[in-house]
Amino acid sequence: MITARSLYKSFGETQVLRGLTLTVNGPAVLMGPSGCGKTTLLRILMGLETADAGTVQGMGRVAAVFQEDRLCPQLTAPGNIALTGADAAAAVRELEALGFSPEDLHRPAAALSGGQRRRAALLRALLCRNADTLLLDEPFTGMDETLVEQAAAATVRLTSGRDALLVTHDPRAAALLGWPVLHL
Amino acid sequence: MRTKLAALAFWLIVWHLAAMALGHGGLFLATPGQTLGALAALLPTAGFWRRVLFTAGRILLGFVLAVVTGVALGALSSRWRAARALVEPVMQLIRAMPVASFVILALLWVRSANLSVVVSFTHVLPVIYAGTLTGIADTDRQLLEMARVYRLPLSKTLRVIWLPGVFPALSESCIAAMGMCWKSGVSAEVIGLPDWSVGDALYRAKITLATPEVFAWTLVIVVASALLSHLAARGLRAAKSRLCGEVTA
Repeated sequence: MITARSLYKSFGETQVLRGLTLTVNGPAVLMGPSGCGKTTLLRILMGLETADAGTVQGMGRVAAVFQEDRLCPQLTAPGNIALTGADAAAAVRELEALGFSPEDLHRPAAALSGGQRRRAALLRALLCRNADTLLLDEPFTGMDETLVEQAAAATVRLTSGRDALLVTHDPRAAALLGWPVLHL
Repeated sequence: MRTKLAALAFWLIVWHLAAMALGHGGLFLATPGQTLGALAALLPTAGFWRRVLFTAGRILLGFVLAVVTGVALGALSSRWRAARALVEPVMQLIRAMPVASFVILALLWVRSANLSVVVSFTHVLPVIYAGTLTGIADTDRQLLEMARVYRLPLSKTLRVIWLPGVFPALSESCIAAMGMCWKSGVSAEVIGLPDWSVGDALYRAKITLATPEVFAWTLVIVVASALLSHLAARGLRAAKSRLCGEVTA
């Protein structure tokens, strides 16, 4: 269970988080208007930003989808997924299920489309066996409706019992997941 | 290719005409024909190859030592500000120092046979150091954050993020440094005159007024430098794609 208490964070004069308190037990969706601090909250939970005040408890090993894909451009999609300790065969199977052709599996990430890179980044987080917390920042960006459905189904299936916080603007994606929704 | 050959032919003709105009049988400026003749006379001799191997071996040793030291100092300097504050003035001093001054000082510390190792090392070191710093600065910060979040082991982070990030700038500096190695190394040999070196041969050719031989040795230095730069570039490219697990589209 992740517990964030009274989190404050400012960047210069702009206060992004004002005493945010949040508890995540199992998977949850986080929604809120642009600029309300969703990504900042995720970065604090990942340990990439330090809150000006407040505490975070219960963070285990994290696997994340960032705002950007952050794939190693010289590696293939399965290579990127296996990098974090995922099973290579499972990576190939899940990528194929999300529409990767055999040729796509052998392309370096730099040569994949934006949507393909996003799917690979999502599977890298979901298949990371060592992670007990998933932090997913807009993981369905750049996917069409059918792919969002498939990716959401894979997300629900592969999250299996872990704590997860998924940020999205898309109410339809949130509905597909069927997870509790937290509003920021 | 045709344009390059035409340009080469143009400059060879200019060189030949200039040498003919100066006259004195090529004493002041050997013709391309005289240069190639002198080279053809040198090539079959064991002494020629011994000198080339002597100089190339020492210059390469200086280069390798400079790469290892430059990468290590660059990594330390980008990690710790204090290390950078210590190293930077030394690099600036080396960059500003003329080869001749350094050679004269180095002759007090090492045997003339090892002079080219020391001089090529010191002149290449700042180039490799700067290349390493640039490469580290160019490395993708977002990928490094990803590695931190996923707690990737250092070996994997080095292989798939640092190495591809640092490599382009480091590789360019290595290729440029290889050419510099030869210039500074042979210059040192011309001053220190170690036995069986290319620099010693160049100096002897000069004092005996064997101008075609001076040109022939100069041609050897230019070709050796270009060849080793080319080999270094190819070797580095192959090493990168092997070490970083690169795949091609």
